[in-house]
Amino acid sequence: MKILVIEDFELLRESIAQGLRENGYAVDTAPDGEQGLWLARSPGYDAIILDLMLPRIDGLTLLGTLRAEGCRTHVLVLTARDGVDDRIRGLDAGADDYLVKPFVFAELLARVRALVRRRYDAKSPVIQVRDLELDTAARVVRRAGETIELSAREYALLEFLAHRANQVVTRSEVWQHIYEFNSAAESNVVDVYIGHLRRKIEREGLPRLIHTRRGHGYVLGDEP
Amino acid sequence: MIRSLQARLFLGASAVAALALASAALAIYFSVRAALLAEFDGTLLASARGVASIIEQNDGRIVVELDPSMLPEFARAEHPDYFVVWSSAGTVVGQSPSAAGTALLHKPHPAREQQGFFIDLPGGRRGRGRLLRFIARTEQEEQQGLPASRGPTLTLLLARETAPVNRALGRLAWLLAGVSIATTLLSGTLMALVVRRGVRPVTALAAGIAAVRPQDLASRLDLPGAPQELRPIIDRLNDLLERIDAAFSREKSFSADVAHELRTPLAGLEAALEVCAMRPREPEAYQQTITRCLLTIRTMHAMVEKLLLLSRLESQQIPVRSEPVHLAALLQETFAPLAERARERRLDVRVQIPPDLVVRTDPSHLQIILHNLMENAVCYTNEGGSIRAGASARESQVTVQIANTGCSLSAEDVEKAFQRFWRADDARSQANLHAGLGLSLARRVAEVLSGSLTARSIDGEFEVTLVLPWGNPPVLPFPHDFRAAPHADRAAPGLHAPAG
Repeated sequence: MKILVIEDFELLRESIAQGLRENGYAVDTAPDGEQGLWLARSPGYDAIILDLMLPRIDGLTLLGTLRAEGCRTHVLVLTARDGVDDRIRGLDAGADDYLVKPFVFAELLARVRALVRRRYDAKSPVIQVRDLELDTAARVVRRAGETIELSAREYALLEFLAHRANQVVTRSEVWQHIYEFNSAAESNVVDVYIGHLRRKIEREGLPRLIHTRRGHGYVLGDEP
Repeated sequence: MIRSLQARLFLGASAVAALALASAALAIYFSVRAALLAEFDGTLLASARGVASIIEQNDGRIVVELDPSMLPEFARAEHPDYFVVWSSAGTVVGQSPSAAGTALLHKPHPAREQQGFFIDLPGGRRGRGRLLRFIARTEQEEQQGLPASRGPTLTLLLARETAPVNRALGRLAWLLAGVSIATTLLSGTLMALVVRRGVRPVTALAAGIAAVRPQDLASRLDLPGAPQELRPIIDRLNDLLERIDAAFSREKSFSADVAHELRTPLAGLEAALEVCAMRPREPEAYQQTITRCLLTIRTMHAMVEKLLLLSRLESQQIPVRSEPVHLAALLQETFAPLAERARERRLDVRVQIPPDLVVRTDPSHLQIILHNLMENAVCYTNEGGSIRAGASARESQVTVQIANTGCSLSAEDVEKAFQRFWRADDARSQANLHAGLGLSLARRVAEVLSGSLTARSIDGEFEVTLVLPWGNPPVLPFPHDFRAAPHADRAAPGLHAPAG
């Protein structure tokens, strides 16, 4: 899952990005409203963390513009202003959640997870696909009761497929949601990771979960 | 001293009215009296002429043919008239029966001849007399109706009681007094009402002012139909309310701004440390986190110190000294800690300050100003750009200017730069997190020194001008210590004067 962090104070921006990455997210960052708006318009972000006090274009304006353009990405607004009026203004401008600085990082993570769930219309942190179980809060994968060890990238890919269970996911969609903007990865890396996942998840005797749809993409779930 | 405006107005107006009425009454009384007396004197004269016409001279003898029936007024017992006639020698040659044997027979002083005069009449009565000089007619002249032609001059005194006139005047006096008093009382009552109505706008204004509470400073005094004398007061009060209101909102937003400004670096610190602690890391990673956090903490520290200083300056807790300060030396000393940073950014720093320029001011305050200005210049000048510092003295002022290239501020942003916490967009995400307090602090300190600080942006250059009062410092030799005390040589590196 990919997050966009728009925050002008460097130490905070880089710490949030590092924390999110170490928790399995792909993270793009922007230090001002102008770059933030430009990045936000590209597809693939599962949530946006937006600071309200930004240079160039301020946060509320950016948010208003995005919403006016029809962007449906969930936005969590970060700000040092905790007045009720500011909260109301942020939410009314189109934000989905609000966090006051300074905050406990664990709370930011939990809210991001909630926004991602909302993005995929999942109510529970646990995703069940046939006999495959993903606990998105604990980042634990089990199949038929057995825990499966996955690398961070593998887990990210699987989580994305699981959120889109039984839907065809194109390679470019995977790319957008799992890889950062300035990623140096090669274009066939998605296929490579699908291969890794298959090796870890598919078992003899257990039904196939990851299917390839030639010319379209991949599906996690029942045989199409 | 009477305190009430109403009472003062009322008493003053009443006193004026009473005085005016009294004066008018007196004027009326005396003019009526004069008229009555003039008329009385006229009748006296007429009567005197009448008496003179019945006095004949026969061969040098004066005969007074007084027929009681003809002139009964001279003989009656009740309130008679009187006449006495004297020859030019002063002897009495005739008199009315009423005047016989009385003090009237003494001839009055000749100076009284042209007018009527008051005279004491027999029986203790008060009267008025008139003298007439005439020549008696002869019998022939009388029979022929001719006036007297020649003969000895006689003096006739005619006197009459003035009781009727006095009675009339007495009545008039009472009438005038009565009317004056009544009018004064009546007008006094009306005056009280008029004064109260007139003073009402003032009491209304006082009530309006009393109704303003600290919580609703947004309200303004409104007195429709207020008299023009009160309008300046109302306008000024509203003006003051506006300023207080503005000051309070600035205060409120300042507190909010401070909280915000400190929260952002705190959030950065918290996030950095939390993330760092989330999993075990290499020593280098910890080192890096520690270093970045320390940098942020130092920035916050500097911000807090500036805020504290600003607050102390606002409440005037810091005493201001007055000493001779050598500007060139002070600038060198201030620049020294920034020299390295300037070198890193390859800045060209030029100083043009007359070596003997001394200003009488507080050296540490001035140092704060110069430090903030130079720090701004060193941080915001474009890399490879230049900074120039200059100073001059003129009449009663010393002007210090510091300019740097690489400024992209618009004209309106230049004035905003003096607001607390304001930073140009580009400055906000820098790792050293400039607080945006430098110019605001410098200006405040300049004001404390009775000076001013202004800035402008011209052709991409940011120029700050500090003006300080000269302070009449003594002329001193070029120092090595900016405090101008005789010290040993001290080399101050970092700045060089331009060639020529």
